[in-house]
Amino acid sequence: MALRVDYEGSNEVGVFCKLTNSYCLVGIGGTQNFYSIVEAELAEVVPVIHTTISGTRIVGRLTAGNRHGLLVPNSTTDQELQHIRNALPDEVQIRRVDERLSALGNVIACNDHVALVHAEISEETEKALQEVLKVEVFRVTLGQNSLVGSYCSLSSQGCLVAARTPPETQRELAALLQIPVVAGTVNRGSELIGAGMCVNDWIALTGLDTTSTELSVVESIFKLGDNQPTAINSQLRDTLIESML
Amino acid sequence: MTSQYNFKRITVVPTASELKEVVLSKTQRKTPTVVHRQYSIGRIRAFYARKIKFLQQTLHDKLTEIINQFPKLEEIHPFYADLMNILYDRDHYKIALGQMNTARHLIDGIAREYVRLMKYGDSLYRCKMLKRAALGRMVKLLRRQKSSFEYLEQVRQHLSRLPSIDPNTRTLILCGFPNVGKSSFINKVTRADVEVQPYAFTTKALYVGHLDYKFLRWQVIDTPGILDHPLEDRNTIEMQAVTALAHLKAAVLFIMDVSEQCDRSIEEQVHLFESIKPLFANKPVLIGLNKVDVRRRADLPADKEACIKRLEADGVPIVEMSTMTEEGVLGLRDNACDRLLVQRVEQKLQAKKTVLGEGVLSKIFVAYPTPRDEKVRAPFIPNAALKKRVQTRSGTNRDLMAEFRDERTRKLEREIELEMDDDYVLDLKKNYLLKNPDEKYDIVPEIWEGHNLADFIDPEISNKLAALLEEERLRIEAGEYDDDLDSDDEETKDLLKTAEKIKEKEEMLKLESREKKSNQHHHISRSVARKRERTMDKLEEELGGLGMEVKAKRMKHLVTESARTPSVKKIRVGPSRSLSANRSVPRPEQGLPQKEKREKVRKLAKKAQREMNQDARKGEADRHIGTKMPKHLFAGKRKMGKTDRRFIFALIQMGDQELTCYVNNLDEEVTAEIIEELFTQAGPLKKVVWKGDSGYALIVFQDEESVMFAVEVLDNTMLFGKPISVKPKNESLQFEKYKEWKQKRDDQHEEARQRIQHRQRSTNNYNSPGQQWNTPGSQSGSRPGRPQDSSQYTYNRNDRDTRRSHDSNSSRSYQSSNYSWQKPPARNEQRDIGMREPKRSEMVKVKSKKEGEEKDQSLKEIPKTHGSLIKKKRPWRNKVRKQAMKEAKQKERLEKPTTVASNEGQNDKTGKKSKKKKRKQLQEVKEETRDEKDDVLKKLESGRFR
Repeated sequence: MALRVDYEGSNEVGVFCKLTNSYCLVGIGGTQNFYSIVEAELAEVVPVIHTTISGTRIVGRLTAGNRHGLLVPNSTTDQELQHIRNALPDEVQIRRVDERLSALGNVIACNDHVALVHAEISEETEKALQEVLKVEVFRVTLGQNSLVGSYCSLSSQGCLVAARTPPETQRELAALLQIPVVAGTVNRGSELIGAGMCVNDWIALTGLDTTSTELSVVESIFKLGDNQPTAINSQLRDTLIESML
Repeated sequence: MTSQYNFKRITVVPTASELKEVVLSKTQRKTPTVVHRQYSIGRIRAFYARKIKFLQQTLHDKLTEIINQFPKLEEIHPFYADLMNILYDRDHYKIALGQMNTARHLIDGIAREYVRLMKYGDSLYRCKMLKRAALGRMVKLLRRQKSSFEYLEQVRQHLSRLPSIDPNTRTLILCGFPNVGKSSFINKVTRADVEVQPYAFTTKALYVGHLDYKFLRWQVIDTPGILDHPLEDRNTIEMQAVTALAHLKAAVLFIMDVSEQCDRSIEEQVHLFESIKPLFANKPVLIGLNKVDVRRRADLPADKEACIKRLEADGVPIVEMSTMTEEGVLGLRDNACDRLLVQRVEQKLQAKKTVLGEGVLSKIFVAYPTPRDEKVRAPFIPNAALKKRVQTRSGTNRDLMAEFRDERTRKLEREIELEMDDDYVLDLKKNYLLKNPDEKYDIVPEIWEGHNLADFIDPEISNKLAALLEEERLRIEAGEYDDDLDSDDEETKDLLKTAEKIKEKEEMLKLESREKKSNQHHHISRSVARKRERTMDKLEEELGGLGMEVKAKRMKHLVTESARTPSVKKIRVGPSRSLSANRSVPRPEQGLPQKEKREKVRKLAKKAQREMNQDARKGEADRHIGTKMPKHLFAGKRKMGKTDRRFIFALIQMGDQELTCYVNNLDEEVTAEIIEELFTQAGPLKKVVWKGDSGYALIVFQDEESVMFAVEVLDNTMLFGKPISVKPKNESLQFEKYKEWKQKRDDQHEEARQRIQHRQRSTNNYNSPGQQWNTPGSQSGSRPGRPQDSSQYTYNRNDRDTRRSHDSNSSRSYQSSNYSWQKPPARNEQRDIGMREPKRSEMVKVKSKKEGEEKDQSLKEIPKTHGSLIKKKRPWRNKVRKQAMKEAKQKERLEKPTTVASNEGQNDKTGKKSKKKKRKQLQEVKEETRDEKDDVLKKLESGRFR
C-alpha cells in the first residue's frame, strides 16, 4: 500500500521520515498531521518515534537504518540518542558513527540484507553497517549520481532508482541487491527518490504530488498490495509511455 | 497543456469612447500642465510636442496590447482556428484586428506630422492649437473604429467562456444525431454537468469533461447533434461538432439510438455515420447503441439489424449500452480508451524511436536479478501488518479503524493536539519501551557536577568492576604486594640514602638563600646612619673601656662635628615614596606661555562674550526663545512697536526690567536729550530708549531704587504743556510697588480733599497758599497723596543697612559722587531721622499728618527750575525759596557748616524735580513747596549725621 502524504507542505517525506521494518522515525514538526497519518498506519505494528537528530528534523537524511539497527551521525546529542534508545525496541541496536559524510541517509541506501553506499564512505562506517545493520555493503554510484541514498529507495521487495539511471546499472544493482530494480520518478517527476519517498516491506509513503502513474509504479516494484513488478512491463507500459511522451 | 489555449487572460477591450477618455485623461495627468507665454518658444513647443507624443505612445501601447492579446488564427491549433471561424467569422475577426493595426499606424503618422508642424508654431497659442488639433485627430480615429472595439469585446467575452479543450491530449469525442444520449453519456463517465433535456439541440456548444482511466487523464468532448445534410447546409451549432471531429485526434464515439426515440430511424443514423465517415479517418471509432433499456439490439427487426451488421463488418465495434441503467457505459469507455491508447502509443513509439533507447524504455525496464548465492533475502512483514492489510481490504474505512486500534494508539496525536489546542505539548516519553514502564517520566540529569552524565554511562560497568576486583583479589592472594620493600639490595639502599642527603642539602641551601634575601636593607653610609651615635662621650667611654685615653682636645674635629646638628634628614627606613607623575601644564597655559598675553586673550574673549551675555544668550548660536509666543507681543496691544521679539528682549532683559521706567504722553517737541536730562535728575541712567515717534520712551536706570523715585518725582510733570506719565515697566516688581503707591496716593488724596473741604467750610477766611492744594478735582492726584510726614524721612549711606533690615520693599537710597539724593520713601516706611522716632502704626501716622501739615507751612523751599523747559507757573516761588533757603542755611550752619555749600549746589539741581499742574496752579505750588521742604529737611538731617 502506498500513501500520498506531505510533511508540513513539503513533498519530500523521505527527508523527514525514516521508515524501516521495525521502527519509524519522524522529525518533530509544528503539527502532528504527518505523524498521525503514519501513526494511524503503523503504530500498532512498529513504534513511530518523534525525534530530532542534532536538533534538526531532517531525520530521514541524517540516519541510516533497517530492521536490525540504526546508525546516527556523530552530531546527534546524548539526549537524542537516549530518547531514541528508550523508544526503540531492545533488539534494535543504535550506533553513533563518526562519518565525514554525516548525512548518512543521503549516502547509504539499505534494506534488511544489503546496503548500497557512497564510494567515499569510511571504513569504520562500513564496519558499523556490517555489525549493526547486519548487511552486506557495496560501494556503488547510480549513473552520475553518487548519493545513493538520495537517488534510490529500496526495500526487501524491490528498488526504485532515479529515472536517468542506465539499464546496465540497473542490472548490476539487481544482481547486488537480488531484487527487481526499476527506474522512475516520484512527486511529479522528481528524481530524488530517496528524499521524495520512504518505504518498507509493506508500506510506502510518497509526496503528495506523486502522480497516479508514479504511484502505480511504486506499488508494483515494491510489491505493495497485490502488485507485482511485472505489471510495469505489461499493464502499466502503455500508460507510462503515454504519460512520459 | 491547457495554458497554451487559455483565452481567459485576454484583458477587457474598452469601447472607443472609454478609451478616448482614458488616454486623454492620462495625457493630462502625466504630462506637465503649466506653461507660460513668457517661456522661450522652444520650451513651449517642447511642452506641447510632449503632450502629442505622450498621447500617441499611450494609444500605441493600448492598441498593441489589444492586437497582441487576441489569438492569431494562423498561429493557433487548426481546431481553434476553425472554431473561431465558425463562431466569429474569420474575415470579420481579421478585419477588426486589422483596423486596430491601421489605427495604430495612422495615429503614429498623425503624431509625427504634428510634432513636425510644431516647429512652425511661433506662439503659445498656435502651439496649443496644433496640439489640440493633433489630439483631436488621434482621438477621432478611435471613434471611427467604434464597431471594431465592440466586436472585439464580444469576441473576447465569448472566447473566455469557451471550454478549455486541449487539442493534443487523449480525447473521446461524442457525436451523433440530436437527442440520442451524448450528454447523458458524458454525464455518466465524467463529472461535467451538461444539461440533458428530451428535445433536440439541447447542447448548442462544445462541452468538456474529464475522466481518469489507467492512471491517465482523459478528455471527453460532448458535441451538439449533427443532422444528415451536406456540409454547406450545416448551421453554426453543427459546424462546431464537425470542427471537433475534423481536427482533434481522438477516439470517436458515435452514439446511436437503438430505440429510435430520437425520431431518427436506425437507417438514417447509419446513413449519417456513413456520410460523416471521412471525418473519422485514422481514428478509432466505436458505435454506442444507446437506450438498450428500451429496446435491445436483439429485438431489432432484421433489416435494421442488417444495417448495423454492415457497419460491424467494416470493423467498427458496436457496444450496447444504456445511459439510463449505466449498462455497458463503462465498457464503451474502456474500449474506446484502450483503442485510442494503443494507437497513440504506437504512433509515439514509431515517431520517437531514437529517444526510446535511453529515456523512456529505461523507465519501463525492470531489471530482474540473477541469483548470486544461496542466501535467502526474504522480506520481513510483521504479522500485525498482514492482519491490518486484511482488515483494510475487508472494507473497513479509516474512521472505523479507530476501533480496531489498540489501547495505546486509539487516539492519534493529531486528535490530541486538536483537543488540547494551545495547551498541547508533544509528549515524547509516552511511547518509551522500558523494562519498568513507571520509569518513563523519570527525570535524568544531563549534567552532574560539571560532568556530562552520558560520557560516564557504560552498560557493562558492573561487569568490568567485578572483573577488576577479581583480578586484584587474585594478585593479593598470589602475594604480589607482600615483599615490596625487602626486595631492594644493598646497592640500591646506598643509592637511596645518598639521594636523600642530596635532597636535604638542596633544601637547606634554598632556605638559606631565601633568608639572606629577606634580610636585605638599604645600604646607607655610616656617616649618615650612625651620626647620632658618634658622640664624644661614647667614644671616651668605649675607648676608655679598652684602656685608651681620649682627650677632647685631640678629638677637636669630632667634638665640633658632634655639636653640629645633623644636617641630613633622618633616614627613613622602608619603601621610598613613589614618584608622582608629572602634572601636565593646563591647556590654556600650554598654548600661551606668557602670562600677560594670556591675560589679554582672556579679556578679549570675555569682551567678545559680553554682547551675548547681555542678551542672555549662551553664544552666537543660541537662538533659544524661552516663551514661544509672549502674550504681550501677540495680543495686538502695541500699535507701533516692533514685533521682533529679539528686539524686545534685547531692549528689556530680565535685568533691565526692574530698572526701566516707561514714560509716555510726551509732547512732540520733547526730544531724547530733554528726557535724558530730566531723568538724570532721578538717578544715574544706563540708557534711554527713545520712541518719541510713538510718543513714549524707556528710561533704564542703573539701579532699581531710582525707578520708583523717578515715578514719585516726575510723574505728571508738565513738559511743553503736557503732563508726562511715568511708570515702571508693566511686568516688573517695581510695578507692584507702583500700584501700591498709587493706591495709597489716591486714598490720601481723597482723604485730604475731604478734610480741606471740611476746613473750608468751617473757616472760609483761611487763605494760606499752602492750604490751597486741596481744591477738588486736581488732575494728578499725586501731590495731595504724598504723606506729609515723609518730610521727616531721609536716607543716607550710614543708616542704609538698618533701613533695609526694616523694610526691604522700599530700600532705596542713592548717593554717589555726582548726585546726592535723599528720597522720600513710601508711606509706610519707618521714620528714621537719626533713628529718633520709632516706627508708627497707621493710626499714628494719620495723626501726625495733621501736625506735619502745619509744619509744612513754615518750611518751604522751592527748587531751582531747569531753564525754561519745565514751565512752572509759580509767581511766588522765589519768595518761598528764599525763605526756605534761609531757614535751611541757618540750620545747617548750626549743625555742620562745611556741608552746606555742597548741599546747596545739589539743592539747585533738585529744583529740576519740580512738578507742575496745569489747571490748579495754587494747589500745585503748595505741594511743591511741601516737597521741597521735605528735601531740605532731609538734607539737614543727613548733614547732621554725616
